[in-house]
Amino acid sequence: MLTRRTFIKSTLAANIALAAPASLALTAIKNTQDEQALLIFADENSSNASLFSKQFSEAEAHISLDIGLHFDTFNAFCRENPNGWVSGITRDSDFFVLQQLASQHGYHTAYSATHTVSNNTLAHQVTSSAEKAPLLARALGNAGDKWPTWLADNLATLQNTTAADNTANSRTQSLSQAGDNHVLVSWLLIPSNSTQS
Amino acid sequence: MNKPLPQGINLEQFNGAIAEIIKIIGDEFVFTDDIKELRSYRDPYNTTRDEDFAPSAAVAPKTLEQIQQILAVVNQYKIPVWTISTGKNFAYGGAAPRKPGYIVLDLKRMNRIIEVNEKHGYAVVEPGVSYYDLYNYIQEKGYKLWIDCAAPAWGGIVGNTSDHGAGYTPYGDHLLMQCGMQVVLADGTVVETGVAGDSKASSLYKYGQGPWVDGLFTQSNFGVITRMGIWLMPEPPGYTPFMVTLPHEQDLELITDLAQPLKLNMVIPNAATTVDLLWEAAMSHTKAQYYTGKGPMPDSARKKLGADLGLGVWNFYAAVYGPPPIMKNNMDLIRDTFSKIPGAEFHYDDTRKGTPGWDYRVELMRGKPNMTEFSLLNWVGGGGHINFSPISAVDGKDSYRQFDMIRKRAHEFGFDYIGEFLVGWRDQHHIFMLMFDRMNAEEKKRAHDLFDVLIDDAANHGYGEYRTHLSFMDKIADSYGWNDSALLKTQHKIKDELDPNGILSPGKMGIWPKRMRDDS
Repeated sequence: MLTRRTFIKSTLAANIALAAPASLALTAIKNTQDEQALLIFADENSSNASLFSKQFSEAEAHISLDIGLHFDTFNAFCRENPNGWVSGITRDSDFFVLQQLASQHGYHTAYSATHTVSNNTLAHQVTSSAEKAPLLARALGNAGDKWPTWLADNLATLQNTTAADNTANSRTQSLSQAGDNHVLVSWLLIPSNSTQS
Repeated sequence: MNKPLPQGINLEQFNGAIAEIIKIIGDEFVFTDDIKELRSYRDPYNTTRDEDFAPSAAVAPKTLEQIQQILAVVNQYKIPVWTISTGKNFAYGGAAPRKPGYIVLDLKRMNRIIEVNEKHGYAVVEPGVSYYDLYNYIQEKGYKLWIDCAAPAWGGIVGNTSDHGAGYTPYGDHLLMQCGMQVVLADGTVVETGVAGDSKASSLYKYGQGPWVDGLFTQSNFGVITRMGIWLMPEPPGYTPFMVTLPHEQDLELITDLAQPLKLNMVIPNAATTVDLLWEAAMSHTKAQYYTGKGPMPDSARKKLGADLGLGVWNFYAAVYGPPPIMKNNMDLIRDTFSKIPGAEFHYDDTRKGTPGWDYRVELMRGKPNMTEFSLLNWVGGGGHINFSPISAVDGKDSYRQFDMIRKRAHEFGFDYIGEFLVGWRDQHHIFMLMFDRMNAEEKKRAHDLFDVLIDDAANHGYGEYRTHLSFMDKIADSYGWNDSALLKTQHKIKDELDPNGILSPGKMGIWPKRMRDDS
């Protein structure tokens, strides 16, 4: 079983440090350790995404807006880490692009969820397996505004051996206002030949 | 889940064909698992049922010889294959086939850059070469050449060119810049166009001797393109991009008419764009930040959005290139021309740099690939989209008529008008990006119905589309039905002659093989 701790204690394999405009930038953090390689993407313009990424490393690197600038990083990670996982909290468009790239490396989407804030209500729509989707939706709801931390703590539980295709929703009160991007997506991409559980 | 199979093929036959293809290219490059392997060959933006465009398998050859052998197998079984290069043709179907059960012939492993010639300004590439690949290669080699890329730029040069795609530099008409190709016909025959016996001249002189046939293999299903020559623009000594913001809807007519002679006489040499407010705003903002109600964004919210972001109702982008004196001369002329529009404001790097909408256009107009345009998909949640793309003359009345026609219908169906006009040398492509939540079945259906009505509306006004999504290929082919569909009948005669078993991409752009024509 993978735990957050195994991710966090891992050594930082590489930092990506490219200058970038502050607005709409992405943060990418790459952690690698013996059992598991992990690549995290976070929309730098979102406090929720930053909260998520901070759970994995103290080091942060800023990469500019355009998701195309991440292709080399992403492809190299997938090539060099056949069992690596890629996760993130990003805008939907960035997730879509990474999802398409990942499929070319034999990855599938083990989990994804949209997170929206409206009128002080935080809504999660989770796509996962039939068994996990309602559990994850409820857990995210219970986590309140700390849901990104909960996701990071429980990343290992998000995996599915096949593509996620069942949805479940939860709603909870939120103290925060709508985020910069309004619709954020959290997600986990894993190789389809992954045998870990 | 039942395996989608091609029409008239049973599972035993299908498995037989797959076993033979595995012998040709190896198990590693034959994909049949619907969950683990074939999801990326579906269309994430389809507006009907997901299974309508579900392939039975995908196969990825590496060489021309492997393609020949695969075609021999599928000819034997009469199994259709749907050819893709990099499969990034999103909004028009992506990597998905026209009908369920086809085998996707995925050419992305054929990714060699065969030649880049700096002196003569061309490249020869295989179908799996993306714009990023060619750009990076040219940068690494230090060649003083520019590419012209699509937006977003992760697609392939061969695929985009053969689908009549467009870019934003002076080389923006991709098929116009194509020169020479290698094609495998359905029976395995390899055809090379261009000049006999001279590979360099084949990339410089299109026509060889006799009929020029390259166009027959674009937006068609008459052969599999395995190599293509493409002209590259020499890096100019100077580049000045600019934007003109226009405050009123009616300015669309004016800017088009004023741009037309500048384009025709090549004072503006590149593929210019007239972009509407929402397209520009969606690069950095979402609809919900300005409007959380249902239906299209009201004018009051649009006005606030435009004012906050310093954007016009229309925003005209173009550039001049060359030595500074030439650029200055042309910019003076352009400024004089567009300053006739009341309220028009010119913008340059000094005031717009750092704005996502400006930055990515500046890159595109100098052929630097990027993916920024995908930001549009965040405008509404669950960003699905299909593009409605009618052609017209560069004429103000046509521009406004098309805009007005599409906007009214879009609003009637509850969608925003998000569009741009890509102003070419003599024609313009109008791209209406029909955005919908791809997780919302009702909204998808509404988008589908809107698109269907728009084809009729456009046809009634005398406008045809240049490219379309899988779902609408037949209907748009029918809209080109002059003289009892003589054009389509001619295409069908060619299809029957070149591909008698109907194995290559049946239904592409409404062209069906004889055995499937009655059912299509």
